[in-house]
Amino acid sequence: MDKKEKNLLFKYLDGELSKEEEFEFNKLVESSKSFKTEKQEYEQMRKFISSNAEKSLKPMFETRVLNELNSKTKNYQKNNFSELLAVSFRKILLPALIIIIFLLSFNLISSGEVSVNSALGIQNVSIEEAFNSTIDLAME
Amino acid sequence: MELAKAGKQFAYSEIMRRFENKVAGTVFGMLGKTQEAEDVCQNVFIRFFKSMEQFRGDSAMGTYITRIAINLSLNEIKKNSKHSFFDLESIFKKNKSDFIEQSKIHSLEGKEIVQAALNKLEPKFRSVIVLRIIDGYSTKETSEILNTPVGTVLSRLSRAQEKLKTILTPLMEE
Repeated sequence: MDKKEKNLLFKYLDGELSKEEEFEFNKLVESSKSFKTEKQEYEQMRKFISSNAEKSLKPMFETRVLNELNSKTKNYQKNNFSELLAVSFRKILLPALIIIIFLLSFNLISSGEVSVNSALGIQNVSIEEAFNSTIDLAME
Repeated sequence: MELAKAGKQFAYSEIMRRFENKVAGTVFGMLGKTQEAEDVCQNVFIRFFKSMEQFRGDSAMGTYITRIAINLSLNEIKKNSKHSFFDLESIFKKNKSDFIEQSKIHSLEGKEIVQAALNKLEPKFRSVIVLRIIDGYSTKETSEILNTPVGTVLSRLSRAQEKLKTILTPLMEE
C-alpha cells in the first residue's frame, strides 16, 4: 500500500473523506484485494479497542467523590480562616509595634533610669512601703 | 442554605452519573485500571466542581471534563514515569490461540490486551487513540481537548493506529 492509499484509508477511518476521495476510495476497495483486507483489519482493530476499553469504576464512586469534596471544602474553610487571621494580624502588627516602642521609651524617659522595670513602668517598692500602704487601705 | 447544599449535591451526582464512563474510559485508557487511575478519576470531578465558576460554557461540559481527565492523566504519567502496567511480553508468552479463545469467553482478557497495547504507545499517541477510538470524540473535538492542531491529531492518529495494528492484528486473526 503506497502513501496515497494509506492516507485515503486513514481519512476514511476518520470520516474525513471528500466526495472525490470517497469515489477514489470505493474504487480502490473494489479493485485491490490487499487494500480491502487492510481496511477490514483496521476496522476490526478499532472495534476491538472500543469494545474492550475499560470504562467501569468501582462501586460507590459518586459517594466517595462527594465525601472527598465535602472534606476538602471543610479544610478549605479552616485554612481560609487561619489565613484571614494571619492577614489581619499582619495589618495591625506595625501600628502595634510603634505603640509598644513609644510606651517603653516614654516609661524610660519619665523614670530617668535604664532598667527593665522602669521600661515596663514597674515601680521599685520596698516591703515596708508595701506593708504600710496595705494598712492604710485597711484603715480607710 | 442546607437546601442549596442538597441541590448542589444532586447536581454534582447528576454530572458524575452522566460523565463517569467517559472519564473512566479516558483515564483508564491513559493509565490502565489501577488504584492511582481510580484516584485520578475522583480528582477529575473534584477539580471540575471546584473550577465550575471558571467554566464559561464556550466548550461542551463533556469536552471540558475530558480535558481535565487528560491533563491529570498526563501529570500522573510524568509523576510516575515508571508506571507498572500490564507486561505485554508476558502476555505474548502465553499460548496465543489459548489466549484469544479465552479473550472471546472473558472480555477481561480482551481488555488486558487492549490496555497492554495502549501502554506500548507514547502518551501523546495514546491520548489521541483514547479520545478518538475509545471516547468517540471527533478529530476537531480531540484537537480542542489536546490543544493541538487538527493536522497533528490526524498524523498522530495514523501513526498510533499503524503501531497498534502490528500489535493487535496477530492476536485478532487467531
